[in-house]
Amino acid sequence: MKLPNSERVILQLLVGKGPCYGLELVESSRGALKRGGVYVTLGRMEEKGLVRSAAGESGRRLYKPTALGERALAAAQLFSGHLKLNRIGAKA
Amino acid sequence: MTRFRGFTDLLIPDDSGRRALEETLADWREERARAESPFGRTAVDLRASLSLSRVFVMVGVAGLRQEGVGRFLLFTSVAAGAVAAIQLRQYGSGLTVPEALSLFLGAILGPFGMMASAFGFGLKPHTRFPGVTLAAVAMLLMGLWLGVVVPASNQYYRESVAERLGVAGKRAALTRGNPEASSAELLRRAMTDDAGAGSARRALLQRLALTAAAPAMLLLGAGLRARIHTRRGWRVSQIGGGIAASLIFVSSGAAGVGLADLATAVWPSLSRGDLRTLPWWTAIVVSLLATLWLSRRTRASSAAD
Repeated sequence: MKLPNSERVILQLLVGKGPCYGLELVESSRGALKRGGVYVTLGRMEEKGLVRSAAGESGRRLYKPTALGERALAAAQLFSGHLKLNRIGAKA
Repeated sequence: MTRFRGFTDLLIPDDSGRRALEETLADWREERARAESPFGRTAVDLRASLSLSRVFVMVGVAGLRQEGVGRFLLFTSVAAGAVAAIQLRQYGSGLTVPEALSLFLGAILGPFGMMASAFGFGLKPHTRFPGVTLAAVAMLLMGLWLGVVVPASNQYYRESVAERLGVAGKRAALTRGNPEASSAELLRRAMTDDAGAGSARRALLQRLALTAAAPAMLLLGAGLRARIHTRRGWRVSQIGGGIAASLIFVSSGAAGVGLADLATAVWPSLSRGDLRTLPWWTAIVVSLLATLWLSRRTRASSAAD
């Protein structure tokens, strides 16, 4: 499964911080996620089964990673680590 | 709530897109309530406007992949082209083929395309209408048509007729007036201090009005179609919705002409040129209000969601 950068950032934040609202994700991402756009990305991730949400206060939703989302993040991190190691190996 | 929800249903067909819009609005309310000063509230409003634009752009782009969008664009173009080709016969048989083609592309295809878009040709009853995507596409196509195709066609037609009438050597001397200038050129003229800047501004405003009219007509057609479809079959809804949308648009434009007459009678200092776009803006506002009114949902159907 291809994991775009924005989805990866969202999963990292959700796994690291626990359940969050969209705006909290934007504030914690240090500019990597944009207001408004984060919800379109979260909706797409929910359709893929990477996150799930529950209705929270005042029309907002609380997002959590699913088991599939956590596995996808682990795989993406492993893969990027593998690539980095390969590059270091190639340079050496 | 029900009318707003109905309107967003028309603009954004998928649940995740609508939820993105609702959550962005909820964030706006939340942040506005937390802001302590008028300056803070203005900053929140600006940020929220950007966020909403981002949601609409992302949902609009995602809508291009939706089922039926390609069919709609193809069928609408074919229908507009067919009616425009029939209409060409009005211009007599003295035209050369390139002249006829330039008239077809530059004068009559756009208005027929706008009208045809209200019918929803190529759409099927089970597919949801990607309003925001198609409205953006309609605006883009209309903007390009008015800004590039129409001026080029006008200039070609003038040069061709001048040549045919034996004004040999004058072809290069035919300078471009406002109708023959592209929108970029008009913008340049409008920003100068020359005597023609005012008329260039008015010509630009007219193009802007026509560009805004395209999505207004499209959405009105969709609103009417959806309303009629609750009681009648799909084909009847398409034809009835398209005809009703055209009639509403044209009659409210005619009312705008009456308003312009009234305004110049009451305020003689106003010139007709200043109010040239009033009929278009009247038609656009009436169409959008009608679409909003048609988008209302019954309490029962909202409760069922």
